[in-house]
Amino acid sequence: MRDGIRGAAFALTLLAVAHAPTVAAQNAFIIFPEASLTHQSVKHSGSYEDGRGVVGVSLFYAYDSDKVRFLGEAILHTDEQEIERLQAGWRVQPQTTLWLGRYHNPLIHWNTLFHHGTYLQQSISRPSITAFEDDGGVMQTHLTGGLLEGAAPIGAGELGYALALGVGSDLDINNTLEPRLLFAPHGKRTLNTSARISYRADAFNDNKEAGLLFNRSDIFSEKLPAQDIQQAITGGYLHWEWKQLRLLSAAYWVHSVISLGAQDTSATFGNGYAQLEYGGEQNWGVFARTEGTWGGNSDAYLSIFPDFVRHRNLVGVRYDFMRRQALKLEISNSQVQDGSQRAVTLQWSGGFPFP
Amino acid sequence: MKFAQWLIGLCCTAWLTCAMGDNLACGERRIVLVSGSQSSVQQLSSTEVRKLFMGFPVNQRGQYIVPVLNLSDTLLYEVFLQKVVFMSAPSYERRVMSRTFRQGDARPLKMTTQRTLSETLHTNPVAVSFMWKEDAHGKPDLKIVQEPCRNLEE
Repeated sequence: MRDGIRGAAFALTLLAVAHAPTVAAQNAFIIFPEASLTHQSVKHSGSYEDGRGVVGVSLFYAYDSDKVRFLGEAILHTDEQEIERLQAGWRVQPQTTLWLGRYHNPLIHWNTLFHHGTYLQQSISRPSITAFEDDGGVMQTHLTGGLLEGAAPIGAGELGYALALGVGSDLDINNTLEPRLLFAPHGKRTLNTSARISYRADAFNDNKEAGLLFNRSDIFSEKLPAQDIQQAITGGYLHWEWKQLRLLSAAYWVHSVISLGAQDTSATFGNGYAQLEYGGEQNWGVFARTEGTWGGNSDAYLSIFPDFVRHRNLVGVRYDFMRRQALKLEISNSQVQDGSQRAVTLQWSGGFPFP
Repeated sequence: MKFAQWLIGLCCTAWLTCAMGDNLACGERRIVLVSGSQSSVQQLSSTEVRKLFMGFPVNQRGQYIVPVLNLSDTLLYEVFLQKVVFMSAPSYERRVMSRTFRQGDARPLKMTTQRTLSETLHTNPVAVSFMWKEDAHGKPDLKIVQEPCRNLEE
């Protein structure tokens, strides 16, 4: 897969460089450094306590001219290094772009808002249903293929849409979702289609938005006997800001059909989260989030991911200082398939754009 | 009685502060949006200007306009935040950064001296920036494409 990513990076970089810069062409480079310390108390298959630290940086580059666009995002963390997004785009209309490359699945709106820029989100952690594949996520967060994104004005607001068609993830031998590339030498290239339609009450404000989400995909499994999971996901989200308060919420229904030779087994589980934040433009902010799963105990697909956080409650505080840096503290209580865990995390993060 | 006096005093102070703030932005020293005199950019609406500096693409006759932040005067930048984008500096900078990070849209260019700003407006036919109206008036190589204070009066 790394060879595939290198090939894609090389091809897209050539495409961007080959396009002669015009007067309107601009570059942007943003660095998001972070350092976290977590102490957790785990109670399943024995009880233990441990602590861990993660230091890393997310690097982002964008090139934007009249028509041709390019963006890339890579993370370099002590526990992970990966190219997360690598997209070349053609601006069809002022607010409509056709992208080709590796991108974040528009099905998961939290990731569309924050990607890997931890500094931009009020909390330290992200809801478990939005977790990336290599963090034990149950949904396909990365796609490689085409993405059409756009918006049309409606009064003071706008109607937004995103249509994605690409290759998603396979379930590897360790029961972890592994994103594939179009020209990956192994795995079964099954198509993943996603759609998002949204309404924003104020075109300038991302925090007054509601939307519907749809996804249809086949997941190839290296471990299951029949090697095929058909999945249909529907969902919705509501982000609303009212004075100093902001609500980030979403709900998903995941229907999976697992082929087991002559018989199929199907089940549906639901998952949702609501994060309430207080602070707005102040230096200090507090937040709380609750996450829940319904029908998870009888769902064959979810049972493949025993470490998936099914329920979680957390509270936290954020302090912004020196314009582009933040210190956050988060305390959480989570439940997984066979146990529970409590965690306290302290994090420093920043966001530094150039130029 | 004391509370009533305190309340009247507070209201007077608030009114004076608002009135002085408004006078600063829309009184003797007014902010205007400018482009080079040879520029193809035509008059812009206040919504288009806000959209432009928030990082949204604004197209005029097939050409995308390039926003240029004039950071040569701290007070001017504060008035720009107050009268053009309607938000505080940290919020504005965070929102523009979020938009770039999310969708790859270009960030506004930043000019920290009058000389580099003039050069940019002169050489880039689709660049739009802001300055004090009194500074723009004496310069034949500039044209005003929007006056936020005139819109407020109308």
